[in-house]
Amino acid sequence: MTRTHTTNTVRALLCRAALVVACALLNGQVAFAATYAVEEMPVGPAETIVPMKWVAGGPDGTSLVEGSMLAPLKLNTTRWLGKQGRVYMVLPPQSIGPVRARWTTRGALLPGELQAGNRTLVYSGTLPAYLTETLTLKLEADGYRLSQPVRLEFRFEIEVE
Amino acid sequence: MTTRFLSLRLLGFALLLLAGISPALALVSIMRAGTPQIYLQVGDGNYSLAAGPGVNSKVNTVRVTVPGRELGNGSPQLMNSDSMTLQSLRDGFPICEDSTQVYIGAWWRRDNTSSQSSATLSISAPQFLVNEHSDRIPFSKIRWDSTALGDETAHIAAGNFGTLQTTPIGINTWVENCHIFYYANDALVPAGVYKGTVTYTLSNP
Repeated sequence: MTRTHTTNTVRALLCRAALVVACALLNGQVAFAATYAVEEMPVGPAETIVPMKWVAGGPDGTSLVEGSMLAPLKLNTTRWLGKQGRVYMVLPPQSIGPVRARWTTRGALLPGELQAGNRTLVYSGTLPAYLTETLTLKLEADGYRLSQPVRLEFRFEIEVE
Repeated sequence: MTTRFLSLRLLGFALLLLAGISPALALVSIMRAGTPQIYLQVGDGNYSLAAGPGVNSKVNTVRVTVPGRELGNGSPQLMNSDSMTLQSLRDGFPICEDSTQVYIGAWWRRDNTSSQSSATLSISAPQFLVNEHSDRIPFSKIRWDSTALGDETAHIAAGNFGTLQTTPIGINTWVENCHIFYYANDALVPAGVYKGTVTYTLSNP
Protein backbone atom coordinates (compact mmCIF):
# COMPACT_ATOMS: atom_id res chain seq x y z
CA MET A 1 0.00 0.00 0.00
CA THR A 2 2.78 2.32 0.93
CA ARG A 3 4.77 1.32 -2.17
CA THR A 4 1.76 2.09 -4.42
CA HIS A 5 1.36 5.41 -2.80
CA THR A 6 5.05 6.22 -3.31
CA THR A 7 4.95 5.14 -6.94
CA ASN A 8 1.96 7.32 -7.59
CA THR A 9 3.69 10.24 -5.92
CA VAL A 10 6.80 9.85 -8.03
CA ARG A 11 4.75 9.51 -11.18
CA ALA A 12 2.90 12.68 -10.31
CA LEU A 13 6.14 14.54 -9.77
CA LEU A 14 7.55 13.33 -13.08
CA CYS A 15 4.43 14.42 -14.90
CA ARG A 16 4.63 17.80 -13.29
CA ALA A 17 8.31 18.14 -14.22
CA ALA A 18 7.62 17.14 -17.81
CA LEU A 19 4.85 19.70 -17.98
CA VAL A 20 7.18 22.42 -16.69
CA VAL A 21 9.84 21.54 -19.28
CA ALA A 22 7.30 21.43 -22.07
CA CYS A 23 5.90 24.82 -21.11
CA ALA A 24 9.41 26.26 -20.84
CA LEU A 25 10.26 24.99 -24.30
CA LEU A 26 7.10 26.42 -25.77
CA ASN A 27 7.84 29.76 -24.16
CA GLY A 28 11.44 29.74 -25.35
CA GLN A 29 12.84 29.72 -21.83
CA VAL A 30 15.18 26.77 -22.33
CA ALA A 31 17.73 27.08 -25.10
CA PHE A 32 19.66 24.15 -26.52
CA ALA A 33 22.97 25.22 -28.03
CA ALA A 34 24.19 23.04 -30.86
CA THR A 35 27.90 22.83 -31.59
CA TYR A 36 29.40 22.83 -35.07
CA ALA A 37 32.86 22.81 -36.53
CA VAL A 38 33.82 26.10 -38.16
CA GLU A 39 35.54 26.07 -41.50
CA GLU A 40 38.81 27.98 -41.47
CA MET A 41 39.46 29.55 -44.84
CA PRO A 42 43.10 29.33 -45.98
CA VAL A 43 44.48 32.88 -45.90
CA GLY A 44 48.01 32.23 -44.64
CA PRO A 45 50.79 29.82 -45.48
CA ALA A 46 49.75 26.27 -46.12
CA GLU A 47 51.78 25.09 -43.17
CA THR A 48 53.66 26.94 -40.48
CA ILE A 49 56.51 25.48 -38.48
CA VAL A 50 57.24 27.42 -35.33
CA PRO A 51 60.79 27.11 -33.99
CA MET A 52 60.65 26.70 -30.22
CA LYS A 53 63.52 28.04 -28.13
CA TRP A 54 64.38 27.54 -24.50
CA VAL A 55 62.79 30.15 -22.26
CA ALA A 56 65.31 32.47 -20.67
CA GLY A 57 65.97 31.98 -17.01
CA GLY A 58 66.89 28.32 -16.76
CA PRO A 59 64.84 25.16 -16.52
CA ASP A 60 63.16 25.69 -13.13
CA GLY A 61 62.01 22.09 -12.90
CA THR A 62 60.83 21.87 -16.48
CA SER A 63 62.43 22.35 -19.84
CA LEU A 64 60.07 24.92 -21.24
CA VAL A 65 60.44 26.06 -24.84
CA GLU A 66 58.53 28.88 -26.46
CA GLY A 67 57.85 30.26 -29.89
CA SER A 68 55.58 32.75 -31.58
CA MET A 69 53.90 33.34 -34.90
CA LEU A 70 51.40 35.56 -36.65
CA ALA A 71 48.34 33.55 -37.58
CA PRO A 72 45.99 35.17 -40.12
CA LEU A 73 42.51 33.73 -39.77
CA LYS A 74 39.31 33.79 -41.73
CA LEU A 75 36.51 31.78 -40.18
CA ASN A 76 33.57 30.98 -42.40
CA THR A 77 30.42 31.63 -40.38
CA THR A 78 28.19 32.32 -43.38
CA ARG A 79 25.97 29.45 -42.44
CA TRP A 80 25.03 31.19 -39.18
CA LEU A 81 24.91 34.75 -40.48
CA GLY A 82 22.87 36.99 -38.17
CA LYS A 83 22.45 34.37 -35.47
CA GLN A 84 23.73 34.57 -31.94
CA GLY A 85 26.67 32.32 -31.35
CA ARG A 86 29.87 31.64 -29.49
CA VAL A 87 33.06 30.63 -31.28
CA TYR A 88 35.75 28.67 -29.49
CA MET A 89 39.34 27.86 -30.34
CA VAL A 90 40.16 24.25 -29.55
CA LEU A 91 43.52 22.59 -29.00
CA PRO A 92 43.33 18.80 -28.69
CA PRO A 93 45.46 16.94 -26.13
CA GLN A 94 49.05 16.59 -27.32
CA SER A 95 51.33 13.58 -27.27
CA ILE A 96 54.13 15.76 -25.88
CA GLY A 97 52.17 16.70 -22.77
CA PRO A 98 51.20 20.22 -21.75
CA VAL A 99 51.12 22.78 -24.53
CA ARG A 100 49.91 26.31 -23.89
CA ALA A 101 48.86 28.89 -26.44
CA ARG A 102 48.38 32.57 -25.66
CA TRP A 103 47.32 35.14 -28.20
CA THR A 104 46.46 38.73 -28.73
CA THR A 105 44.18 39.99 -31.47
CA ARG A 106 43.34 43.10 -33.43
CA GLY A 107 39.82 43.25 -32.07
CA ALA A 108 37.65 40.97 -34.15
CA LEU A 109 38.27 38.02 -31.86
CA LEU A 110 38.96 37.90 -28.15
CA PRO A 111 42.51 37.53 -26.84
CA GLY A 112 43.02 34.55 -24.62
CA GLU A 113 44.90 31.53 -23.48
CA LEU A 114 44.40 27.85 -24.13
CA GLN A 115 45.86 24.67 -22.70
CA ALA A 116 45.99 21.54 -24.84
CA GLY A 117 42.85 19.50 -24.21
CA ASN A 118 40.65 22.56 -23.71
CA ARG A 119 38.88 25.28 -25.62
CA THR A 120 38.63 29.04 -25.16
CA LEU A 121 35.96 31.51 -26.22
CA VAL A 122 37.16 33.80 -29.00
CA TYR A 123 33.88 35.34 -30.16
CA SER A 124 30.41 35.86 -28.76
CA GLY A 125 27.59 37.75 -30.39
CA THR A 126 25.80 38.18 -33.66
CA LEU A 127 27.62 36.28 -36.34
CA PRO A 128 28.89 37.95 -39.52
CA ALA A 129 29.54 35.97 -42.67
CA TYR A 130 33.24 35.76 -41.86
CA LEU A 131 35.34 36.40 -38.81
CA THR A 132 38.66 37.78 -39.99
CA GLU A 133 41.54 38.24 -37.61
CA THR A 134 45.30 38.01 -37.19
CA LEU A 135 46.41 36.33 -34.00
CA THR A 136 49.79 37.00 -32.46
CA LEU A 137 50.22 33.55 -31.09
CA LYS A 138 52.72 32.48 -28.44
CA LEU A 139 53.23 28.79 -27.82
CA GLU A 140 54.85 26.96 -24.91
CA ALA A 141 55.72 23.29 -24.66
CA ASP A 142 58.03 20.90 -22.86
CA GLY A 143 61.33 20.97 -24.76
CA TYR A 144 62.39 17.71 -23.17
CA ARG A 145 59.59 15.88 -24.97
CA LEU A 146 59.76 17.92 -28.15
CA SER A 147 62.40 15.89 -29.90
CA GLN A 148 60.44 15.72 -33.15
CA PRO A 149 58.19 18.29 -34.86
CA VAL A 150 54.61 18.06 -33.63
CA ARG A 151 51.50 19.23 -35.45
CA LEU A 152 49.14 20.93 -33.00
CA GLU A 153 45.93 20.84 -35.09
CA PHE A 154 44.06 23.79 -33.66
CA ARG A 155 40.44 23.96 -34.71
CA PHE A 156 37.39 26.15 -34.17
CA GLU A 157 33.88 25.28 -33.15
CA ILE A 158 30.72 27.28 -32.75
CA GLU A 159 27.70 27.06 -30.52
CA VAL A 160 24.55 28.54 -31.98
CA GLU A 161 21.33 28.99 -30.05
CA MET B 1 5.67 18.52 -30.02
CA THR B 2 8.29 18.74 -27.38
CA THR B 3 9.78 15.44 -28.41
CA ARG B 4 10.10 16.48 -32.05
CA PHE B 5 11.89 19.66 -31.07
CA LEU B 6 14.50 17.75 -29.10
CA SER B 7 15.03 15.26 -31.90
CA LEU B 8 15.82 17.98 -34.38
CA ARG B 9 18.39 19.45 -32.07
CA LEU B 10 20.09 16.14 -31.63
CA LEU B 11 20.21 15.63 -35.39
CA GLY B 12 21.98 18.94 -35.73
CA PHE B 13 24.61 17.82 -33.24
CA ALA B 14 25.15 14.55 -35.10
CA LEU B 15 25.84 16.48 -38.30
CA LEU B 16 28.48 18.47 -36.50
CA LEU B 17 30.48 15.39 -35.71
CA LEU B 18 30.75 14.55 -39.38
CA ALA B 19 32.08 17.96 -40.37
CA GLY B 20 35.72 18.33 -41.36
CA ILE B 21 38.43 20.29 -39.53
CA SER B 22 39.77 23.61 -40.67
CA PRO B 23 42.97 23.83 -42.73
CA ALA B 24 45.14 26.76 -41.57
CA LEU B 25 45.84 26.86 -37.82
CA ALA B 26 45.37 23.11 -38.00
CA LEU B 27 48.64 23.05 -39.92
CA VAL B 28 50.78 24.67 -37.25
CA SER B 29 53.69 22.52 -36.15
CA ILE B 30 56.23 23.21 -33.47
CA MET B 31 59.78 22.02 -33.41
CA ARG B 32 62.53 22.56 -30.87
CA ALA B 33 65.19 24.92 -32.18
CA GLY B 34 67.35 25.15 -29.08
CA THR B 35 70.44 23.05 -28.59
CA PRO B 36 71.20 21.50 -25.20
CA GLN B 37 72.17 24.10 -22.63
CA ILE B 38 74.39 23.90 -19.58
CA TYR B 39 75.18 26.64 -17.06
CA LEU B 40 77.44 27.01 -14.05
CA GLN B 41 78.14 30.05 -11.94
CA VAL B 42 80.54 30.17 -9.00
CA GLY B 43 80.57 33.50 -7.22
CA ASP B 44 79.78 36.40 -9.51
CA GLY B 45 78.54 36.04 -13.06
CA ASN B 46 76.43 37.56 -15.78
CA TYR B 47 73.17 35.78 -15.30
CA SER B 48 69.94 37.69 -15.86
CA LEU B 49 66.50 36.50 -14.83
CA ALA B 50 65.10 38.07 -17.98
CA ALA B 51 67.80 37.27 -20.51
CA GLY B 52 69.26 34.10 -19.04
CA PRO B 53 72.86 32.98 -18.96
CA GLY B 54 75.81 35.19 -19.78
CA VAL B 55 79.55 34.65 -19.88
CA ASN B 56 81.80 36.06 -17.16
CA SER B 57 85.47 35.23 -16.77
CA LYS B 58 85.83 36.77 -13.32
CA VAL B 59 87.60 34.61 -10.72
CA ASN B 60 86.48 35.48 -7.20
CA THR B 61 88.92 35.36 -4.31
CA VAL B 62 88.36 33.73 -0.92
CA ARG B 63 90.90 34.73 1.73
CA VAL B 64 91.72 34.75 5.41
CA THR B 65 94.48 36.38 7.41
CA VAL B 66 95.45 34.33 10.45
CA PRO B 67 96.47 36.48 13.45
CA GLY B 68 99.93 35.64 14.68
CA ARG B 69 98.75 34.66 18.15
CA GLU B 70 96.29 32.13 16.66
CA LEU B 71 98.60 30.65 14.11
CA GLY B 72 98.45 26.88 14.07
CA ASN B 73 96.31 26.59 17.19
CA GLY B 74 93.79 24.30 15.49
CA SER B 75 90.99 26.84 15.54
CA PRO B 76 89.43 26.84 12.05
CA GLN B 77 89.52 30.23 10.38
CA LEU B 78 86.41 31.44 8.57
CA MET B 79 87.33 32.83 5.16
CA ASN B 80 85.83 35.82 3.36
CA SER B 81 85.14 36.24 -0.32
CA ASP B 82 84.81 39.16 -2.70
CA SER B 83 81.72 37.63 -4.26
CA MET B 84 78.77 40.00 -4.45
CA THR B 85 76.16 37.42 -5.45
CA LEU B 86 73.78 36.84 -2.57
CA GLN B 87 70.51 36.23 -4.41
CA SER B 88 69.24 33.19 -6.22
CA LEU B 89 69.68 33.51 -9.96
CA ARG B 90 66.56 31.44 -10.33
CA ASP B 91 64.04 33.68 -8.58
CA GLY B 92 65.91 36.52 -6.88
CA PHE B 93 65.39 35.10 -3.39
CA PRO B 94 68.28 36.00 -1.04
CA ILE B 95 70.03 32.72 -0.31
CA CYS B 96 73.57 33.68 0.70
CA GLU B 97 73.94 35.65 3.92
CA ASP B 98 77.09 37.68 3.42
CA SER B 99 80.57 37.75 1.98
CA THR B 100 81.60 34.61 3.87
CA GLN B 101 79.35 32.69 1.49
CA VAL B 102 80.04 32.02 -2.17
CA TYR B 103 77.10 31.40 -4.46
CA ILE B 104 77.15 28.30 -6.67
CA GLY B 105 74.39 27.63 -9.18
CA ALA B 106 74.15 25.04 -11.93
CA TRP B 107 71.63 23.56 -14.32
CA TRP B 108 71.36 21.90 -17.69
CA ARG B 109 68.57 21.00 -20.09
CA ARG B 110 68.09 19.09 -23.28
CA ASP B 111 65.48 16.93 -25.00
CA ASN B 112 64.87 13.24 -24.46
CA THR B 113 66.88 11.98 -27.42
CA SER B 114 69.67 10.97 -25.04
CA SER B 115 69.57 8.57 -22.11
CA GLN B 116 71.88 10.91 -20.22
CA SER B 117 69.95 11.88 -17.12
CA SER B 118 72.50 13.91 -15.22
CA ALA B 119 75.45 16.21 -15.65
CA THR B 120 78.43 16.17 -13.32
CA LEU B 121 79.71 19.06 -11.26
CA SER B 122 83.30 18.48 -10.21
CA ILE B 123 85.37 20.55 -7.82
CA SER B 124 89.11 20.13 -8.13
CA ALA B 125 92.19 21.84 -6.77
CA PRO B 126 95.96 21.53 -7.02
CA GLN B 127 97.68 19.73 -4.19
CA PHE B 128 99.07 22.83 -2.48
CA LEU B 129 98.65 26.52 -1.94
CA VAL B 130 102.01 28.15 -2.50
CA ASN B 131 103.45 31.42 -1.17
CA GLU B 132 106.01 33.79 -2.67
CA HIS B 133 108.84 31.75 -1.13
CA SER B 134 107.50 28.47 -2.49
CA ASP B 135 106.35 27.33 0.94
CA ARG B 136 103.31 25.15 0.70
CA ILE B 137 100.06 24.40 2.51
CA PRO B 138 98.05 21.35 1.45
CA PHE B 139 94.81 22.43 -0.22
CA SER B 140 93.10 19.78 1.87
CA LYS B 141 93.42 22.19 4.80
CA ILE B 142 90.55 24.15 3.32
CA ARG B 143 87.04 22.76 3.63
CA TRP B 144 83.61 24.13 2.97
CA ASP B 145 80.11 23.85 4.34
CA SER B 146 77.13 24.00 2.03
CA THR B 147 73.85 25.70 2.79
CA ALA B 148 71.33 28.26 1.56
CA LEU B 149 68.68 30.43 3.15
CA GLY B 150 65.27 28.90 2.56
CA ASP B 151 66.73 25.53 1.62
CA GLU B 152 69.58 24.32 3.78
CA THR B 153 69.96 21.10 1.81
CA ALA B 154 73.53 20.64 0.66
CA HIS B 155 72.74 19.88 -2.98
CA ILE B 156 76.43 20.42 -3.65
CA ALA B 157 77.82 18.60 -0.65
CA ALA B 158 80.25 19.90 1.95
CA GLY B 159 83.81 18.72 1.49
CA ASN B 160 87.43 19.73 1.25
CA PHE B 161 89.86 20.29 -1.57
CA GLY B 162 91.94 17.26 -0.80
CA THR B 163 90.02 15.03 -3.14
CA LEU B 164 88.12 15.54 -6.35
CA GLN B 165 84.45 15.95 -5.49
CA THR B 166 81.68 15.27 -7.96
CA THR B 167 77.97 15.99 -7.74
CA PRO B 168 75.34 14.73 -10.19
CA ILE B 169 72.97 17.42 -11.43
CA GLY B 170 69.62 16.07 -12.65
CA ILE B 171 68.25 17.12 -16.02
CA ASN B 172 66.08 20.25 -16.08
CA THR B 173 67.06 21.03 -12.52
CA TRP B 174 68.41 24.13 -10.90
CA VAL B 175 70.92 23.44 -8.13
CA GLU B 176 71.98 26.28 -5.87
CA ASN B 177 73.99 26.47 -2.68
CA CYS B 178 76.21 28.84 -0.79
CA HIS B 179 79.61 27.53 0.25
CA ILE B 180 81.36 28.72 3.42
CA PHE B 181 85.10 28.12 3.51
CA TYR B 182 87.34 27.39 6.48
CA TYR B 183 91.10 27.10 6.80
CA ALA B 184 92.01 24.31 9.25
CA ASN B 185 94.87 26.28 10.85
CA ASP B 186 96.25 23.20 12.50
CA ALA B 187 99.93 23.65 11.67
CA LEU B 188 102.58 26.34 11.96
CA VAL B 189 103.56 27.57 8.53
CA PRO B 190 106.06 30.19 7.36
CA ALA B 191 104.69 33.69 6.92
CA GLY B 192 103.52 34.63 3.48
CA VAL B 193 100.56 34.91 1.14
CA TYR B 194 99.57 31.43 0.02
CA LYS B 195 97.63 31.22 -3.21
CA GLY B 196 95.92 28.59 -5.26
CA THR B 197 93.09 28.33 -7.73
CA VAL B 198 90.30 25.77 -7.59
CA THR B 199 88.24 24.79 -10.57
CA TYR B 200 84.51 24.04 -10.76
CA THR B 201 83.43 22.17 -13.88
CA LEU B 202 79.96 21.19 -15.02
CA SER B 203 79.98 18.63 -17.81
CA ASN B 204 77.50 16.51 -19.67
CA PRO B 205 79.24 14.12 -22.05
